[in-house]
Amino acid sequence: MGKILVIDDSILLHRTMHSIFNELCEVKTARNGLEALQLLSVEEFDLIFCDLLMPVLNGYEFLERIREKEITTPVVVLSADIQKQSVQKCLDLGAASFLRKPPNTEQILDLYRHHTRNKGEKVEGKPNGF
Amino acid sequence: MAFDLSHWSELLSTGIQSVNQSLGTLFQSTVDCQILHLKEVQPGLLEDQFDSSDCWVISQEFIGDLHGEALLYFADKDALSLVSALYYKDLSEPNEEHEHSTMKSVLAEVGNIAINSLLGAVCNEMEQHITFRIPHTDHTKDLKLYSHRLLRDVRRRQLEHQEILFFSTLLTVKDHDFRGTFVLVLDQKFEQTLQT
Repeated sequence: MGKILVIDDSILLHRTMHSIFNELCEVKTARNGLEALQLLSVEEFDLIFCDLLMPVLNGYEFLERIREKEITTPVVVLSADIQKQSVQKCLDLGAASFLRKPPNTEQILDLYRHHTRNKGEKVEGKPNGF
Repeated sequence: MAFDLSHWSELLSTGIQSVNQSLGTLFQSTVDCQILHLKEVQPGLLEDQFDSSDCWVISQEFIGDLHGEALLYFADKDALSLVSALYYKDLSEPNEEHEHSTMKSVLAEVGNIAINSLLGAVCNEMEQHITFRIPHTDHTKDLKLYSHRLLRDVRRRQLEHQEILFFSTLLTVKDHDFRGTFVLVLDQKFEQTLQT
């Protein structure tokens, strides 16, 4: 079973992601970038979903920090900030993709399939989403 | 220097379409924003734009090419209905501490999505960029008093002698029993930026 990390200070997004992935993969959550870095120091993940606007360590700072640490886990930025410059900054900092909040279930699952395809993950069915 | 209200009306229409799209996905329903006000106000008269009512207010400040603050507020019963609809939980008795914190977190996320959608679309249209502050959610017993805080923020930005663009919409979601009001308070500094 695969494992994803969801970094967001919103309990609504945590619940949504648990609902989307249900039994497809293990979902761990962090409330900000610093909590996520602590988790990444002891665990490996197949995919990371990361918000931008968070207390303590925001999404941009998190992207910078994992690049410094040479962590290669793909990061999908999930944010309501749809400004062109914000999206470009995320991609420049190494984000694999940018998804507008709120995402729909299919978008999330497509990205999961895309990033885990080469790891032999098998995604079946469609769990309940939002 | 006055705001070009007809220009802003077009810009905000683009922003509203973006809000309808985002909140429509969130609620899996049709969202409608009906414009109530788009006008210039003197900072000292900001209080007159608000009612004396109990409500939950999500506020988010933004800085950059555009300075100001956006609010999304819901009457108590509407906020309860909204959070129940999204969080699949009966929050009819929101007195418990954890339920209060659930209300704050869910409302902050809804506000963040709505405000970012609106202003993000406006900024993209104008090829401007802003930085959003972390949203705050408060429960107030008198929305009119909340305007005092807004005014303090305007003064903090040292723009109290300028007029403010005041924009409000009524937000309704089909098949859901709640509605909210969206307010955007924009300092004139941005208008100057646009015209230079």
